[in-house]
Amino acid sequence: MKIGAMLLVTALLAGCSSQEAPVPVVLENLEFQMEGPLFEGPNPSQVLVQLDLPTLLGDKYQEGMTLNDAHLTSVEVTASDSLGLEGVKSFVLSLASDDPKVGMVEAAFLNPLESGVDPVQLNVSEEAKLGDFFKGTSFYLVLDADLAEDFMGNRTFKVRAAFDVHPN
Amino acid sequence: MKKFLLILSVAVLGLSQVGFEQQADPGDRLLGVWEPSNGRARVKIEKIGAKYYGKIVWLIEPIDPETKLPKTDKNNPDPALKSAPLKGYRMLKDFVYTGKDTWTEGTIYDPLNGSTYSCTIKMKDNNTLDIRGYIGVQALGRTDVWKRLVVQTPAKK
Repeated sequence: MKIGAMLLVTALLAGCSSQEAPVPVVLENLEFQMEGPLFEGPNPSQVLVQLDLPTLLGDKYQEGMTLNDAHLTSVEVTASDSLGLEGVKSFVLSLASDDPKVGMVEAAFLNPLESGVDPVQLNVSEEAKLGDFFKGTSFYLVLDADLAEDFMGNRTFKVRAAFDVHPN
Repeated sequence: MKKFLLILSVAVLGLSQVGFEQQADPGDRLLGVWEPSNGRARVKIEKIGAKYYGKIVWLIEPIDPETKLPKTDKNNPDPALKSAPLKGYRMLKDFVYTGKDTWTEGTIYDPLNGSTYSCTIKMKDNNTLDIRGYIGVQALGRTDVWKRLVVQTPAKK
């Protein structure tokens, strides 16, 4: 019985030690351009994120390392044009992939926006499972801006998204 | 000889034009604004990467009678998304064109009960879609017929 208990504890400790601590990854200066004419209501824009693990993980990267899981920890959105965030009622940030096995996930949103606040912090979904997006070579970040009225020109927003990724 | 070369050039250009038009993605015929049979909403289908997605762009009753505010996705099983605006929500996701006027591998979300179903789309003609949502196997599902809308561009201000 004692030997069995010792083996169990050893296995548990080995399991704990093999789990890597999460690595923070920040995607900055992601520019989402919405080309007019824009309609009152939700208008989408997308950015393709190319995954290069050595660049992403920096000195934490080891040869052969893959990513097991990922969570979004924060999202900041600011206007990248002279219009500011006026006229924007809400934002939704989603992840999408060309992989047929990986479905789109809404990961963060803010509704409504507080007047005069820029940049804004989106509310992150704690239940959103994002690991599959980091197992491929790329994924899309999709920003939906809900506009209060039609607009003939272009709108541009800049996003900073922070993740915790879990390497194998 | 010159006349022959001229005719040949025109023929080659004509065939090139046909070839160019045929290279357009046939799956993109799904793009546009569509209305389900109950007429209570309109859905705009767009392309992100290689897949097709549909979001609600109009609701017949956009205001929640209880809150007097724009309707939100209050039945969403994810607590963080319960206050996401319903208008703008992507109820169709991840469709891939698989040929023969059919898009598969997607899902359809029902905001009335917060449930997500597997879904296939079949284009009956350029203005008519059969949207079939199901659980498990297609035989255990329901088909709704959607019609294409023509969208007016906003007036200049």
